[in-house]
Amino acid sequence: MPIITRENWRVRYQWSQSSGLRLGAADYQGIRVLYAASVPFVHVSYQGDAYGPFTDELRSTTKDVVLREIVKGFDLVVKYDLYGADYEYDHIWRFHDDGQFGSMIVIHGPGEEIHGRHTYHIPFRFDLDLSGASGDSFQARSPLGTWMDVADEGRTFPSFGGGGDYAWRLIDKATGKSARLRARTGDSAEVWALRYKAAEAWGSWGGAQASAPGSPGSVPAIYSDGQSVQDADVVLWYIAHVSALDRVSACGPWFALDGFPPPDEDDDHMDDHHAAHE
Amino acid sequence: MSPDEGLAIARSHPDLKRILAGRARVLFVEPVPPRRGASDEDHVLLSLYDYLRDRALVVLLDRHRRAVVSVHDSGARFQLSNEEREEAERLAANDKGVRAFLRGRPMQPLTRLYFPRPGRAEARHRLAIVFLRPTSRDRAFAVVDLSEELVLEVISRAAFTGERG
Repeated sequence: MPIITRENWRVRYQWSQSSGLRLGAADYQGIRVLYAASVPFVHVSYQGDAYGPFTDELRSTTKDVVLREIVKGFDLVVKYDLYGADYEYDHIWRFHDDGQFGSMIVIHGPGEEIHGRHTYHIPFRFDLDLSGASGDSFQARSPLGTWMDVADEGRTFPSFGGGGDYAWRLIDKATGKSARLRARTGDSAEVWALRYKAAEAWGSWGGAQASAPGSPGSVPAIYSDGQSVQDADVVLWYIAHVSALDRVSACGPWFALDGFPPPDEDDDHMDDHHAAHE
Repeated sequence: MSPDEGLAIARSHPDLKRILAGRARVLFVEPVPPRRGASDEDHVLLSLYDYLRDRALVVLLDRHRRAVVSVHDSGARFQLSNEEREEAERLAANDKGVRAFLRGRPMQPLTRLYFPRPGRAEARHRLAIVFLRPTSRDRAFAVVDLSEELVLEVISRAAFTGERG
């Protein structure tokens, strides 16, 4: 797996045949933040109940991963263009030197029609490890702004309507390290917190269901069996539901870290630029 | 690891050997991230589709020991393999309804994993949808049942996108 060491981050990534550009372990300031992250597929449903949905596989005509330098950070950028111009997506993994990071999918469309009569349902999976696999607790921000423990696995929505502020966080209470999560305005986002399970991790390699992600009987609901998401190895699924009405659209969550060492602004370097991918 | 190498290891497992002797295909082979604390890339994930029982299996392989570590039924449907995509397009190309739509024009197919509406008889089967694109404007969609190896229907663009029921 290629590794980029840059802007206080050390990030492993891999180009997969089934679910595009995935991240492996990612460390900030030498401390583990992510174990793995991916966007398994895009689920597209058209209006009317006559015909079923389909999935767009995140595949590309090339295996190029572009490293893009930005202010106080860097991007890993790929284009999913296997299905041609009408069905193209860009995928950006962004990292800042203060620990902020995120994953964005740009939906070019227009798909099969031009009147906004279809919806893109896009799951983003983050297996966060805040200074270790276990010992993480999922919390949601209450309408009063305080962080409240979420006891068990399941679906959550922002308590204040979504977008603009950090509505969820995963915290290692022993160390105080946490990752706050914010929904992008317009994503109609939901977040599922699950205990890590092998079947759930393997399902992230493109595993889909007939109903839209987030709905009962689909991913990630099929991996939820009511376990505690307190002091555990917790995985977060962020699901964006994006109407085709607004073109071109972008979706995806944004994270900020707390309790980590302050940014080190020296010492940029990289191990691998435009790496070859097997 | 190539799909063929993965298959060779999978065949060393008695249950998988029996499934592979029927009608099954490798969907993908991917190196999985190292287990916490383990050395890098010990394991490879192989996904199989068993068309006779309509189920997806995920098989964890140890690439160094060349052994099957575990086999699980997956609750999810994995994306089409290249081989499945090619088969769906071949079946579509031979279908009378598709030929009538194309009228000799090139199919220029784009093929994806498809899910029928709940309650349909074929809901448990593995389906593909082949986008037929003879020109930049003309479209129709062939729904292909890979489990039964047949084209179920050819749908117009207006019907598919909900512009006409």
